[in-house]
Amino acid sequence: MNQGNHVLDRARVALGDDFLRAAVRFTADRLRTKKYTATESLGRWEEWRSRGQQIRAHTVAHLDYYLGQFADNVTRAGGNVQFAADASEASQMVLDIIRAKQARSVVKSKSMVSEEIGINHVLEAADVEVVETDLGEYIVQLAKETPSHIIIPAIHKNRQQIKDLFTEAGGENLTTDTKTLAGFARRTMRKKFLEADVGITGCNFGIAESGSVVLFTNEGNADMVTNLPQTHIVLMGMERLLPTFADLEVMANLLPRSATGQNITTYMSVLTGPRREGDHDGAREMHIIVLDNGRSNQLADAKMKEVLNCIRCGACLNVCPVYRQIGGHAYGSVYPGPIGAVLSPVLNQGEQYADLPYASSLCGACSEACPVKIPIHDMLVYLRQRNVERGWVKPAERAAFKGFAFAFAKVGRYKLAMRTARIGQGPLVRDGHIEAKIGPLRGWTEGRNAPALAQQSFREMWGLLEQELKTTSRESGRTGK
Amino acid sequence: MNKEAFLNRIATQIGRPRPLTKAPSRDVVGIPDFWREFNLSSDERIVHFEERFTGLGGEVRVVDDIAQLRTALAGIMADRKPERIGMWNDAELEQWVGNSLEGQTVLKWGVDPRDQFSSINIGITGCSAAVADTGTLVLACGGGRGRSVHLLPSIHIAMVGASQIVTRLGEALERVAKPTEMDSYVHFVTGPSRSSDIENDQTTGIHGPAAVIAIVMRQA
Repeated sequence: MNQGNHVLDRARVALGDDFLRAAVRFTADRLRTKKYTATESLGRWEEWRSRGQQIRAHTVAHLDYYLGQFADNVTRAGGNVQFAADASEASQMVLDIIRAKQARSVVKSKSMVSEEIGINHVLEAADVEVVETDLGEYIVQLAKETPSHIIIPAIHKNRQQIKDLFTEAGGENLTTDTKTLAGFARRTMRKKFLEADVGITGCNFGIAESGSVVLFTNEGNADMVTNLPQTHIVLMGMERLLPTFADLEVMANLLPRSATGQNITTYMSVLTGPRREGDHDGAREMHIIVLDNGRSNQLADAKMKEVLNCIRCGACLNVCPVYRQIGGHAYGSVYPGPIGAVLSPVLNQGEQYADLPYASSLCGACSEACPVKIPIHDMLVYLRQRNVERGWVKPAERAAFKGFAFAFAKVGRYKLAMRTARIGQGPLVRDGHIEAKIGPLRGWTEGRNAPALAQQSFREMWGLLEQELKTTSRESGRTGK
Repeated sequence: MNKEAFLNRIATQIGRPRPLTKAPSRDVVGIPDFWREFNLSSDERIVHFEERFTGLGGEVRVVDDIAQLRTALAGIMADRKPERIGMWNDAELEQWVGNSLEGQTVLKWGVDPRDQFSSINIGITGCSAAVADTGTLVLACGGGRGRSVHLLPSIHIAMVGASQIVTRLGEALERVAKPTEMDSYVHFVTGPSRSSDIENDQTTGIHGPAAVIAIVMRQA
């Protein structure tokens, strides 16, 4: 995204795009309403959330055990597991498998981890054709863009744009009708599925007790990707585990409801190793690449480790007042929205995403929406603190807070500062408030009026108030109240 | 990074000298108790399944016995006029279907060439279980129960015995997901393939079948 380096710059671009804003708002509202209906009809949602939180917290707290168990069981089922410390190692592993298979074409189903490691660019650079097969991801890929929502990647595209993209991709006589466009995608993809050498998917949950990979989808593309090519590669974040199938029942109730307001997704696919002796279809090889990429660092941080409980439903995006205004691209990261504002700065070293925790009003709607009760807004505050500790703040802000600390440390300084400010504000005050859009005041006054400092402060009034208080209490004593 | 180093790094961050090798004890496993108590009678299970499955765009035909099942199946064929039908190679399914597909071109999975299945219009399968609460068909695939049979065609017909319908998803998982003896591919199918990726407008049959029909037989 060449939309500026700071979330504010990118947000400004997004705010100027009326179609985007309307589409994001419409989609977020729709998903939020559907979620509400689906959770209400299930009932006892808070108990479900608590159970989800318990299971995820237990899994993450014993990840060393469950990941080991998972890997052993994958191997037992005939699959192959590799462990990647970071994005480049994971990409290299994918590339090695593809080279060993002499693969020319790859079909992919939607996977956030694949976006995280940027595998498409790596493969394209190696002259391997990569096709995104989720309808939304395909549209985004044809437009050479990135997803704007975790669950519905192409909400920023309208049907006319989609028709143009499909026409460019070889579609003839297309209209903007949904059925026609979807029909073109189906025909195009079907050929790709049948011809592809390798399929790449993500993993919603790995089941430790069996070594199974579980995928929740609606279109059915993941099932083509996993079953039609000869080789299946799974990219999974190392925390994406559940101990047992019994735990999967809880997540199957939480995830689709939170993501799209469905009681369950159209498809839930459970893959345990590659095809067996006597099977006539399914991939012959299954390779699972487990990715760390900054995740394990969170385990030692009591305030951050819960971020690993995330099940990637996107519910926090749909309720976020900031996301609803600016959409996904403004975050400039693979992971947008409140959870993205937490994940992006911790999965990446350095200052690159340090601005994202400020893209929040800290209203807490995200934490309330989270099906596994991650305290997202507390984490955003914590990350802001961390920025200050690391010195990742603007010099003006640092100076302002230094001044604030100095003035508020001693009562004399405080009084002096207030007196000076009251005199200083004189030329700016109109009808008891400040409208002038100048200096550091601008961030406030651009959207609303700033209240002027009162002519007499509470401290100055206190003498009189105390007097009054004493009189009243004496009077009330006399009347026996 | 090798497995040992990877797991060691995790253990260190959690605060353990080396990775756990014994299963940790757990306070809670799986669903809350109130959900475990959710139990429908056999009649209610059929009604719930039909309601949920239909609500998501699937079709359900409830029949009493094999004779009615065959009539229903022949009726669907007369309506849809498929050029080619693909079917599991499964003794029970074959017995149920009987002569209802006479005159049709029927490909058997594992018997007829695999590549011919990419042109089937209808795929006929049995199922391992069905879930009343969610309206879900559970298809454990392996051997003659090929994955492509229900993935590739635009119409999928599944035969369901009433006794196969369970109340909760978890009960179905207990049947088909036994950690050491499960099929390599178990598919939970709830209605036709769908997408809302074009301007939130829902469309079916984007990759998988556009129509899914469940024939539920009471006497089975």
